[in-house]
Amino acid sequence: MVLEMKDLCVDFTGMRGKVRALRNVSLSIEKGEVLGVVGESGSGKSVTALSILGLLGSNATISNGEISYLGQNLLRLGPKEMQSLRGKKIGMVFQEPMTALHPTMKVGSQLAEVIKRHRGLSKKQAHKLAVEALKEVHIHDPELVAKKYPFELSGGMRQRIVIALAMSAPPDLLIADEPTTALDVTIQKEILQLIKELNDKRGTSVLLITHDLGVVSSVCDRVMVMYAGEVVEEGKTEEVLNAPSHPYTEALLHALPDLADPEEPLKAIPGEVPDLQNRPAGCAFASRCPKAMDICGVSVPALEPVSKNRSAACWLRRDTY
Amino acid sequence: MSTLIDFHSVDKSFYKGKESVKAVIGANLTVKKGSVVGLVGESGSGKSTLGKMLIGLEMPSEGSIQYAGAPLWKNKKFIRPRPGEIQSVFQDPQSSLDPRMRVKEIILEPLFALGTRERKEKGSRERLTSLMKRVGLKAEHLDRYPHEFSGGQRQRIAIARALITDPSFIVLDEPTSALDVSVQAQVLNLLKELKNERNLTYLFISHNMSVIRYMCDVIAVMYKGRIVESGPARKLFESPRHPYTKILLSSLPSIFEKKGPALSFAPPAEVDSGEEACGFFERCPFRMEACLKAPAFESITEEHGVACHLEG
Ligand SMILES: Nc1ncnc2c1ncn2[C@@H]1O[C@H](COP(=O)(O)OP(=O)(O)OP(=O)(O)O)[C@@H](O)[C@H]1O
Ligand SMILES: Nc1ncnc2c1ncn2[C@@H]1O[C@H](COP(=O)(O)OP(=O)(O)O)[C@@H](O)[C@H]1O
Ligand code: SF4
Ligand code: SF4
Ligand SMILES: [Mg+2]
Ligand SMILES: [Mg+2]
Repeated sequence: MVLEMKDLCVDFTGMRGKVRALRNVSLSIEKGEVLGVVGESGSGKSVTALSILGLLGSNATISNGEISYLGQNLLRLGPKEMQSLRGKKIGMVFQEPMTALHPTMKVGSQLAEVIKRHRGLSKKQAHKLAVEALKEVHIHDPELVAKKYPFELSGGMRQRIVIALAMSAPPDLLIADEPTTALDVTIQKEILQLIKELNDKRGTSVLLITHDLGVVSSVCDRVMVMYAGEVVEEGKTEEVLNAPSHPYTEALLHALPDLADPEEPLKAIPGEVPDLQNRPAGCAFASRCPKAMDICGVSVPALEPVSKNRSAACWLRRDTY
Repeated sequence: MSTLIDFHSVDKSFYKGKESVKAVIGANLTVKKGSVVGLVGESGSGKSTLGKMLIGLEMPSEGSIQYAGAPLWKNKKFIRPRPGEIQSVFQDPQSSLDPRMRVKEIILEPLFALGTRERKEKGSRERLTSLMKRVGLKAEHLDRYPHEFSGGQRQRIAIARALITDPSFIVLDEPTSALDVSVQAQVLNLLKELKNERNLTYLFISHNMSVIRYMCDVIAVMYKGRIVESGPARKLFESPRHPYTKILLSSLPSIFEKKGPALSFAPPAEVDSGEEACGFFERCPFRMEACLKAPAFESITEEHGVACHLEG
């Protein structure tokens, strides 16, 4: 097991008081596995990633749970140790590549710097490896690109460079939070292919966060669906998408336009995601769920196995396995 | 169906000092009354600029746009066929709704373009209430401010504002791109219903191909300012002809089965293609010598056209 998170609860203290952003979130990633985290905005995807990286702000409290990375308890590490873990043992890629790049430094030098730091090489050796690294993320003419500044490159090129940076240590785990959301769909495909290729070739595990089920389907081995700060379903990607266990996953699939059946009216999900500040009692999806029962409005269903490779948090699925 | 809008060789250039950006080049496009025409293409390809020329926000540099048989731009002036006839809804309801105005004022605002009598008539309490209900909001929401609403609700407010003048045509520029999937479906269905109820015509801009397929009758694909292919939605999806359209369709991260061979961009061309070349030369996997001269946009059938030397 590369990463294991158990029953994590994260609270934010703000002007309006305390909000529970994550509620008993558990997940695990095996070596070489790509785990997708999918959910709508505010469902807790980024907070999940930031918890692992130790990057939650000072207004956040982890009030329950454990995170272990390669057997090490991350919640016990000090800020210094976390910092050395980030970038080296865990690579990071975010939506906006510019946030990860130094704006006034040539991209080749940025890469060389990081490689030098991780591997203790000479400047010249590091530069050579930097060019190699650019080649590995399929940048044509890497010598030329190495001499450019980030602003001279397209969004897709920048994201390739961020991936090269993230993979330079190389890490055992890559955390990518909406890495293609700001990109055109044609470029998105190339970046997803690149992530998949690095995962295949190097056996790096990947935590891929996205709001797009299509993205999940094209690269993830397993998927975890989040809703209002909770994991509602988890399982093998194909199985979850073909036969969802949780009513929310099912509703989400029906709400998407289907290219194979474009005339079919969309089945919209009534209502909206609940405000975490006023999270209703019971199942968070109850007010929108077509299958809600009395118990759903009273008691929160826990995430439990419902079949061989699948877990769901729904009263309907209790005791079916 | 009769023609409502006709673009004829429309160019739009922006000047920044000495540099010029050609945002739209030689656009020809026909919008039939009562249809939904979709515009797709990568970021910066000119979709919004094309839409803005229809609502008076950008003036064409060259060419003409006819609306219901009369020119929309004349002597650098935007000629409204009738005040309120053309409306728009944009992507980000947060920034397009004035935060200091109450919902009621926001929705009534477009009526200021109308004469006093019509304004009173169209802005009656009764009409306002029924419009609110129709877009899925409540009458008591009228006195609130935009920040009190969710993204989906704000987009409903923007739709109500667009409808208050009884338009015939609406430019929808990424109307659901900022919304979550579960709310997107509500808004798309609402837009479809309103279109049928009111016999509206839409120009629907989106980068989401499944959304475009769901909403549109006709699709135009833009690449670097040019419309490279246009045709009936079904035709375009089933048998795309332009290499860029093919790549676009094969890039969709679909949860449904993919058909057709995967096709990707070619590595950037090594030769400098020059000004005259096909706009897609740089990345086209099929480029050849003939492509150093740009292809004309030609009809394959009455409704389906493409600009590529491989066709024709
Ligand atoms: N007011 C302006 N001044 C200068 N350049 C502009 C202006 N508006 C647009 N452009 C340029 O025109 C081109 C087309 O822009 P446009 O906004 O129409 O693209 P788009 O297809 O709508 O892109 P997106 O998908 O990102 O919304 C771009 O190169 C853009 O930078
Ligand atoms: N720094 C913060 N301070 C207060 N609340 C936060 C902070 N970061 C995230 N949250 C809240 O936590 C919840 C989950 O957010 P996030 O993980 O960013 O969602 P997403 O799934 O869109 O990535 C949201 O309600 C968000 O408002
Ligand atoms: S627990 Fe009840 S309300 Fe929640 S998803 Fe299951 S059936 Fe629906
Ligand atoms: S004209 Fe040539 S370069 Fe342009 S799209 Fe067609 S084949 Fe490609
Ligand atoms: Mg996020
Ligand atoms: Mg635009």
